[in-house]
Amino acid sequence: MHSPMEQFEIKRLLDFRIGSFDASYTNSALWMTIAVILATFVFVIGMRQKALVPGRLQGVAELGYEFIAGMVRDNVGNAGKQYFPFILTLFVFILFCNVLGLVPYSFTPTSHIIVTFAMALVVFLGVTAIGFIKHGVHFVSFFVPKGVPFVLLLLLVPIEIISYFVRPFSLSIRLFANMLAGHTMLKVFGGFVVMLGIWAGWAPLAFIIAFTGLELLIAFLQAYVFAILTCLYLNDAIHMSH
Amino acid sequence: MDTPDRDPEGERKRMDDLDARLKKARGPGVKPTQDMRVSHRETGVAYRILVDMIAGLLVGGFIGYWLDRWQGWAPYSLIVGLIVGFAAGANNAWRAIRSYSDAANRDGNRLP
Repeated sequence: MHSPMEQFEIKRLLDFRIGSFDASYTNSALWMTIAVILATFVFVIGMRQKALVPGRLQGVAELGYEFIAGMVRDNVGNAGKQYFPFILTLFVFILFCNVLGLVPYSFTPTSHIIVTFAMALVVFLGVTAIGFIKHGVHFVSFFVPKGVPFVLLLLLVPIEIISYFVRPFSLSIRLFANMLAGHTMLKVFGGFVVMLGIWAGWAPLAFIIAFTGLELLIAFLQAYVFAILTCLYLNDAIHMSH
Repeated sequence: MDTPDRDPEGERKRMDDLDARLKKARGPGVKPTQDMRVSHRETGVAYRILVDMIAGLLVGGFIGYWLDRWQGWAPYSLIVGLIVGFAAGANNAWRAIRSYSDAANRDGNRLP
């Protein structure tokens, strides 16, 4: 009997070291590479024709583009235009990692918190840097709520600052926990199918089929949530509005 | 366009025809794509809020625990950290809910 957590094990495929730093090429890195190659394939090959009436692949590429373009326009406004490529890349990368993870025998890089936390940290540091570049030292007033007596500020400013620093954690935990829980659940019910055998195993099997559909929705939804929160944080930094 | 030999007038006519047929096939008065988008947004908001609160508690608790270990203030900084962390998480959740309901109010009566 396999453990349901076995699917998350990192395996070294190519051993590689820089000094004492372990930079091996792992199965996680392999599936990230596959996600990048597939996403590039969809966008580059799909848009090569530039047909007025799009084909299937072009339809997918345009759908993704317009979805994120609308999201950036609605949530950040015109100032967000220059950050659109980053948000589209982030969304497509997470979406491909999540969806590819549902393929049997594959690996889900986004089920590891270090992967999601690295992405969230890039967003957090980038957004903070943008805030300080756009507003200078004035950006600090983001942490001071308006129209509050001074005594309350002593209490509210630390809360505001911690709220701000919670962001990368909530961003990464949300994606990682959803992926981890979903895949563990699928594996556990897969184990039930084997245990119950040919007579009663059909019930968990039917559940797995339905649950895979839900997982597909969650795979999309979590990529969407990550992208839209990046937009909202960007909007906070650019327009300094709560 | 990759086929310049086709006449644009006929092309437009074909598109109009397709539009009319699509409208007919979708039935009157129903806009399925619109509803889908709203429900995605609502589910997205729901996913945000839960983790916002938990992450606040975790971060506050961690800072408190670390201060305890570092400065030897046990257990007071852990308690204060958990309280402030909870407040921060609730603050984030509150902000998410408020921005959502503001948007809902602006766009008309989306909320039931």
